[in-house]
Amino acid sequence: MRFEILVRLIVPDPWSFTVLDTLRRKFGLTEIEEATRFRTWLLSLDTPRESSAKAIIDRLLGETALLANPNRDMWFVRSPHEMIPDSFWRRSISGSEVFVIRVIDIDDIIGRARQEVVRQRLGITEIKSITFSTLWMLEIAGDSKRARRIAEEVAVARRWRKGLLANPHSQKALVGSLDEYLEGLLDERAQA
Amino acid sequence: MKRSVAIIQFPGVNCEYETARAASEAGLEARIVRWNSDPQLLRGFDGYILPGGFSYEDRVRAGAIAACDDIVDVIRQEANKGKPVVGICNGAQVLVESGLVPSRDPGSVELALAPNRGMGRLGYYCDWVFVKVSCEPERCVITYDLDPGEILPIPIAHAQGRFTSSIPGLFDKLEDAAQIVLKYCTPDGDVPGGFPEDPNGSEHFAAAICNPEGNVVALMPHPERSAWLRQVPADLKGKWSQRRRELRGKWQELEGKGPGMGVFRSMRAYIEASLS
Repeated sequence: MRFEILVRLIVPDPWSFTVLDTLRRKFGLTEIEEATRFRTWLLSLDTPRESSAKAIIDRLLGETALLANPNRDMWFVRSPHEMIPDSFWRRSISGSEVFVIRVIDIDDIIGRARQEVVRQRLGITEIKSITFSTLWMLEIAGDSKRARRIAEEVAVARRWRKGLLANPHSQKALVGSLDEYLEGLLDERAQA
Repeated sequence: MKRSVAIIQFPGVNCEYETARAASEAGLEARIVRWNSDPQLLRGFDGYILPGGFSYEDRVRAGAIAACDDIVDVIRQEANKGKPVVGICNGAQVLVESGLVPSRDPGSVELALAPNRGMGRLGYYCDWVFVKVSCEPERCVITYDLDPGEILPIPIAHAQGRFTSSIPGLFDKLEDAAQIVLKYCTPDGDVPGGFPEDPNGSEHFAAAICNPEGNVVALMPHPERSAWLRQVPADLKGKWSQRRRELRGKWQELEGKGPGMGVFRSMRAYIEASLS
C-alpha cells in the first residue's frame, strides 16, 4: 500500500520565490506565473487495511518530527489517485496550466536515513520503504503544449540557464501535468 | 605592480573575508565584489575567486541559483580570455552547475557535486583531509607553484562534495587529460582505502577538477583555512603538523605560511606568468 505525504511550509517559502524569480528574470520564462514547492515522502507499507496504514502514518506524523515539523509545516497524506484538497493547495492563477516536476536524488540518502530511523529506532516494521522527493508545481500561462515544453525545459539543468530543478548527474526529474500526477502516472513512469 | 583578484560575494557565502586575507598575504590585491555589482567593474580584475559558504541558502541545490547570476556570465567571458577562476567549496559547486568545469563540452553541465557518500551517516562533514597534487604543477592555476606529488593537509566542510557524472567514461577522460588536479589521499600520499581519507566518495578521489585550459578550477577543500601554520592541527601526520609541533609557543613563527597558502601563491604566479 502506497501513500504520499505532501509537506509544505506554513509561512511563505523562500525557495519557491527564488525559483520563480530565477526562472522568470534570469531564464526569461515569464509564462511561469507561480511556483510552489512541496517536500514529499513516498511510503510503501505492508498492512492488511488502508485504515491501519493510515494509523501508522498518523502516529509517525503526530509523535515525531521526522517527516514534518508541526511548528513550521502543514501536510496532507494522500492515497494513490486522491485529489489534493483546496485547503492544502489550489492553483493561484486561474486559466493557467499546472505542471508537476518531481525531483529525486539518485542516492536518496534522506529517504534511506529516515527509513532506518523508522525501522530501527521506532520499531515500525510495516513501513517497507521511504522515498524523499521535492515536488514543484509550476503554473504556466499559455497553451498546454507550450507549457509542457517549458516544464520539461526547466526540469533538468543541461546547460547554463537551460534547466534548473534537477542535476541529471545526481538526480532524476519526472515531469507531468497535474492530472497525470494525480492519476499516479509520474510514479508509474518512474517504476517503468 | 600587484595583480588583482575579485572575491565574489554571493548572498549567503561566508568565507569571503578569510579568502581575501589569504589572497592578500600571497601578494594579490584582493577585493570583495558583490554579486549584483556592475558587471563591467569585474572586467578590470586579473582573476576571480568564488569563495565558500551557502550561496542563496543552497536553495534548489548547492550553487545552482548563483550559477544562473549575470555575474557568472561575465566571469565565463573573462575565463574564455584566459583569466584564472578558482571556486572554493560552494564556489566549486557554482562552477560545476554553470558548466564552467570541466567544460569538455563548453557550457554543458557535465558533473554534479552530489551528497557525500560512504561516511555511514547523512549530511555535512567537516575534517582535515590530505590531498595530493596529481598533475604537472604548470597544468593549472592552483598547482602552479606547488611541487609535483606534493601532499597538503587541508580542511573540508561540505555536505555535497562528491564529484560524479552520468556521462560514461567522463572521469577516465578527465584523468587522461590531467584535469583532476588534486586527489584525496592518505597522509603518505597513497590511494585512500575508504572513509575518512576519502571523505565523500568522489569519483577517482577527485578533490579539484580544472577545465581543459587549466585556468578554471573547482576545488572542494578550503585552502584559506590552512593558509597559516597556526591553523594546522598539531596531531596530524606529515611534515606540516610536525613543523607545527616544533613551533609550539613560538607565536610569531606560527604566523608563517601554511599548506593552503600554496594555492593562492600559485594563483599569483599563474597570473604573473600569463601576463608577462
